[in-house]
Amino acid sequence: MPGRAVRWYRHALLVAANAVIVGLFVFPLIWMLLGAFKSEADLLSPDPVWFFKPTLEHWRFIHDNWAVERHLLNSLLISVATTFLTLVLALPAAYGLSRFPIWQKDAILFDILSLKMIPPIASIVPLFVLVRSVGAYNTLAVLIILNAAFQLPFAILVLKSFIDEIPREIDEAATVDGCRPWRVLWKTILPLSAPGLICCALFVFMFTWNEFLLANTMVSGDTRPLPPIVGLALTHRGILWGPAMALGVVVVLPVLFLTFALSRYMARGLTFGAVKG
Amino acid sequence: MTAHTGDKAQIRPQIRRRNKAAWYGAYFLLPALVYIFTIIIYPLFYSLYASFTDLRLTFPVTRFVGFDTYAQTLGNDVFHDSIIVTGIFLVTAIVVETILGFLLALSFSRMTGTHPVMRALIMLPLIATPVTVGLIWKLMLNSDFGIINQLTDSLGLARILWLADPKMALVSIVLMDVWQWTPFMFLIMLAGLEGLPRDVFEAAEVDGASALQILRRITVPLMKRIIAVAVVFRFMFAIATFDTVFVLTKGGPARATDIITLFIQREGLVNLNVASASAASFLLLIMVLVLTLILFKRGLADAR
Repeated sequence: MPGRAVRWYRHALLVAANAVIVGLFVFPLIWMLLGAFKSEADLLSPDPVWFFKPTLEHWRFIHDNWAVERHLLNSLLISVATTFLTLVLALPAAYGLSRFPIWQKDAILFDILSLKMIPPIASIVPLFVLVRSVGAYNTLAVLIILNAAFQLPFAILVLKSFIDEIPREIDEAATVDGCRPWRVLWKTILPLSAPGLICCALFVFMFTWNEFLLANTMVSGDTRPLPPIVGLALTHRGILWGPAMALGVVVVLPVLFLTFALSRYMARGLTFGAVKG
Repeated sequence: MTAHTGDKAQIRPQIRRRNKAAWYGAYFLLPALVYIFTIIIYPLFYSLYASFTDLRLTFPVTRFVGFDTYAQTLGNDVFHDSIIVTGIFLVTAIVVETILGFLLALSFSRMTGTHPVMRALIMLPLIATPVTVGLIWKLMLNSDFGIINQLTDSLGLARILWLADPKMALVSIVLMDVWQWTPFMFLIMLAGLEGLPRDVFEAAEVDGASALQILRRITVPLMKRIIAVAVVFRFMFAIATFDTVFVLTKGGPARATDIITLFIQREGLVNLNVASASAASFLLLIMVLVLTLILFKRGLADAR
């Protein structure tokens, strides 16, 4: 961008203005964090409450009534297993697309991308019927298997963008040394694409962790991960604001930590490798 | 392949090697493709079949009805309204997010030095679990004790029924979406701005171009492609919007925010009318396909 020499106070003003905007984007999450420790009276107060005596009543509530630890464990299991399964399938596919002459490769790449154009709900309705007919309803495995399928197009494209950046000479040298493609993948591509794999893993973990539709449709009761439990706050008699905010903190906190790890790759990840940030 | 230089005996192994490589590529790709096909594409075919029947999970007998389900869906006012609401939501949200994201990126790119903490913080809305986002906004937009009305009150403005007034409810879901997704536009545009060649801007400044001229004549034209990419991706995510609106308004009041994904979910998973949900899905897919072709082919090609 234009390298204009701005005087220091103008620059300070600019930084301050941007900081205020950043604050606006962060504020709702801070409000949730505060809400999780406010008493019911403070939450429903007609005037904004900034200073209050923190209470743990909502945390006790989500522990006693919603068994939050159990669903947290489910969320962890599902997200970790989905991430693993997705990467195991995506890495060879990304390697194949990056390095080998495949018939109609551009068309395949475009189709993989356009799969993401289909709103998941369009496949979830028939999947619901199929899952029930094969008796897989309400199992952790079905959530893992389905989530992995929905994450695969993303994972393949992002990993391919990383593998494309590994100089071809390296795997060509390994091939000349007599390595078969599987060994090249295992010995050179796998270690060299470690940053890509980690980035991809964190994204898939985050998407799966946040996923609501499948989780709300394919499982019930104790098998549910956290996001559908958030919906329990919306009861017929009204909304349980305190527990909702406390649970919100539990759900959001683990992925918030990912932000700092992912910030460098965010633009790239969310455009499936199309934009190198 | 340089066929005219070597003799045939030399070409053969080359072709064979190429074929072999192609086979290896296929082996690597196949497991993932089969997996995607079984779990995402096959159900769509099942759904296509269902859309030509009157399949309801609450009714044991299923008949083939041809285009009847489609005719019913197309004649259904709820479906119509849903398409209109979706259209308004998509266009307003994406336009506002694009403009805000671009301005914000411009503003950030003017700062000397990178500000990794600010940048990471602004991404939080993108990472926060959407269901939770819906609940936070439901609390903030509450007309009795929501912080947003408390702010407008203190400014002496009239109290707004954000979620109870149908018009304002639509504004509310756009507002929430803008909060959640402007950072996405911002990030992509910032990446784009940082990749622009500096010398063009320096030359323009030497020639005495004003900031506005530089923006209109240089920055925007150079950014066209990246803006197109951002809009296409945003459109792709926006059409699937579900969790946030499901929690914030559940389509209400009076179906004012009943976006198409909510309609399909309700028909298929609540009313268990799989035929109707499938027909609606395919009508949606056709619309998405047409829009994608226009956006992708025209938008991206023009920008290039």
